[in-house]
Amino acid sequence: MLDNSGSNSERAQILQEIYEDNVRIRDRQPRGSLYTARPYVTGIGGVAVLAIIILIAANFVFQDTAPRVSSDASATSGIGSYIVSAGQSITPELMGHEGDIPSARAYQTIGAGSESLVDLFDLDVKTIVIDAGHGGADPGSSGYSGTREKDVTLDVAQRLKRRLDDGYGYRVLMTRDSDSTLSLRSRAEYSNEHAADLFISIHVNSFPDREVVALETYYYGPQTDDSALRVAEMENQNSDYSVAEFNRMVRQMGDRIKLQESRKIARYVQRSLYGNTKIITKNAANWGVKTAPFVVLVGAEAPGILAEIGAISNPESEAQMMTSEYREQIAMFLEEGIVNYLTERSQNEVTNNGATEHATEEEEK
Amino acid sequence: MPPKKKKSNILHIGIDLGTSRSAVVASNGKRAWEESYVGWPRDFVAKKMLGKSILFGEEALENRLSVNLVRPLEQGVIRDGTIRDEEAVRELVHHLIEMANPGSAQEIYAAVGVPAEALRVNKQAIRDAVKEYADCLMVVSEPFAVAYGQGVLNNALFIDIGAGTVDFCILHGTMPGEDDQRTLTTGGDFIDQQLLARLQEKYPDASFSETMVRGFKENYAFTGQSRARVKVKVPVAGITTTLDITREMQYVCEGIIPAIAEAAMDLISVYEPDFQDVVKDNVYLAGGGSQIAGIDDALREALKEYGDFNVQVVDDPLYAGAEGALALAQDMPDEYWEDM
Repeated sequence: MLDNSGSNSERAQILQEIYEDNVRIRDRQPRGSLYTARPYVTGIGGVAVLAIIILIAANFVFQDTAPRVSSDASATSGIGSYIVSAGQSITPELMGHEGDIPSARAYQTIGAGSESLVDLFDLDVKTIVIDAGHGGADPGSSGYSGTREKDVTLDVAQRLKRRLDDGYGYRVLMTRDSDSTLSLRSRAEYSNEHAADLFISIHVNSFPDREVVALETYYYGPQTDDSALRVAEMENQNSDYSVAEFNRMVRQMGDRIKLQESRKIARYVQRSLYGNTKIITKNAANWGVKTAPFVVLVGAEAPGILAEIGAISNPESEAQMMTSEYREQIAMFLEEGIVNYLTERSQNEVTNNGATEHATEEEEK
Repeated sequence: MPPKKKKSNILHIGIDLGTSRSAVVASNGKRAWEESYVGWPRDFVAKKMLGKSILFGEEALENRLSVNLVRPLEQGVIRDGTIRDEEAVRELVHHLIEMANPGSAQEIYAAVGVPAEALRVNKQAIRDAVKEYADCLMVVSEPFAVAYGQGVLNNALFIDIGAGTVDFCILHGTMPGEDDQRTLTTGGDFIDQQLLARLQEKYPDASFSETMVRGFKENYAFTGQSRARVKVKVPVAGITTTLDITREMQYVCEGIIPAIAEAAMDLISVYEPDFQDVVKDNVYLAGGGSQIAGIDDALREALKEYGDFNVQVVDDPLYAGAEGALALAQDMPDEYWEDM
């Protein structure tokens, strides 16, 4: 090893090169605000995660013995767990309120311990159709850096599918799994052909005002305000339905169950979407659950929603959407909303204690 | 050596982040390794049963039916856009640093060796993953960390036969660039797949699992002349039966040699002509694959037509990468560290 062990100067040279290489890596930081927001003080991250885990465990014990919390109250708290699972550090403010500390993942709406999860999930195969908005010749809206809505929706849809595929036992289908052009009609028909129980359409908002970052979830109904109509107009292009067909479908929408269920899903999804997003996107606004005459939601027989998962017109949001981490998180939030809804629904079917709302669900089957 | 003017409350840590196994060595003398598996309980039931929210290594593998099991560097890289993998890397690194048992007031300076391909593709992600738990951090390619640990920095070729990838690295007295490195995907996992396929073909009635086959390989892998027959116990239609898998084992182990020889020659043939012979005299094998009995002879044999090679297996391959990373961490001047 004499001739190749490297002199001291050679070694110093190499160390310097490693250092420079790492400086280059470090300085190449085009990541979204997620990463810049992370506190650089080490230790805190680990400690916070540990603390959260302990609190979750404590929460658990509590839930097992206490009477069931109302689903409304508990569903709002699905936040910190995501932070933990995404490996993010927790801001100290969050740590302060125990009420904000969630039990883990989506299962918190399940009540006291007598019913097992398997019982709850093992009811019947639920078919979920995920619709990635736009695609192919129709790019949807696009951001200032050129990010296109169709790409974001497809990626989030694929991630959502992977998540829902994982262990829940749902049959999860996608209207498109590539960059292909689909009319709204064929999307709705696809959902009907496959007897979907749930239709989730994913879109990204675009606003004239670059500052606005608003999250909203729609289900079909008369539009609630002008901006909703504007969004509907934008998303309804390329419809391929005739006026007569459209009118007939609208009449069929008298089906109140679909309306009720759609509204319920929309609430769950919006709650999860906004509740979680506001943690990582400071200026996100909650525009809530709205109704608007989206063609794709009318055509699909299944209860359905259209989620606007962000605003591509906002440069910061756009930068976030360009990272896979962010898209995965959005998929995670959608997953939480959907699973919360389905869990609550299946729970009602199991216990079926005669509440009218539950009875209508039975009729629908 | 550069002068060492160390602060007292610094813990230097060397980590080898591998596809199959990860190891950690620290300046406080701690050495530990873990299978590179991270598992999250699938649901509440599993979580209650396991009594923890995350599992590592052997334990995660044993409970694979109740956890979502992730091997974060499956092909030697963090697959694009899989937040799960990045999360798993982060958790694994955290776990390894914990195993080094740092004092609460100690600053952690960590050097991390990662598969060459991961360094090329996921530099950023790896840095992000480790950053949370280390005060200062350097990332280097795994074969380079091994070479540094061996004190061999010039005119040498290091071949790190890992599970996901086989990484080649030519040392020429400076930090290796992209041209000095090659990566093949025919590593240990490839051997497992080949072996499993051949065994299933030969013994269609027997039941093999991937874990089982990996166990056979880790115990009996060999090339060239076999010292003893390789006999394993396997359930055949439910009955435990002893099967002789000597030929299959030899075949799959030798199957990775030609590609390795070819890649080695690729790198050597473009090296400074004056020093090519020196490199041929300094070929080092590292990684789990270097434990295949007789692999140094087999490679020397395969390279014979290009001249005489001296192929040697590094000592203690499980820790060689982590030891190298630690040496690098300790040699690195403080002013460089403080900038990271």
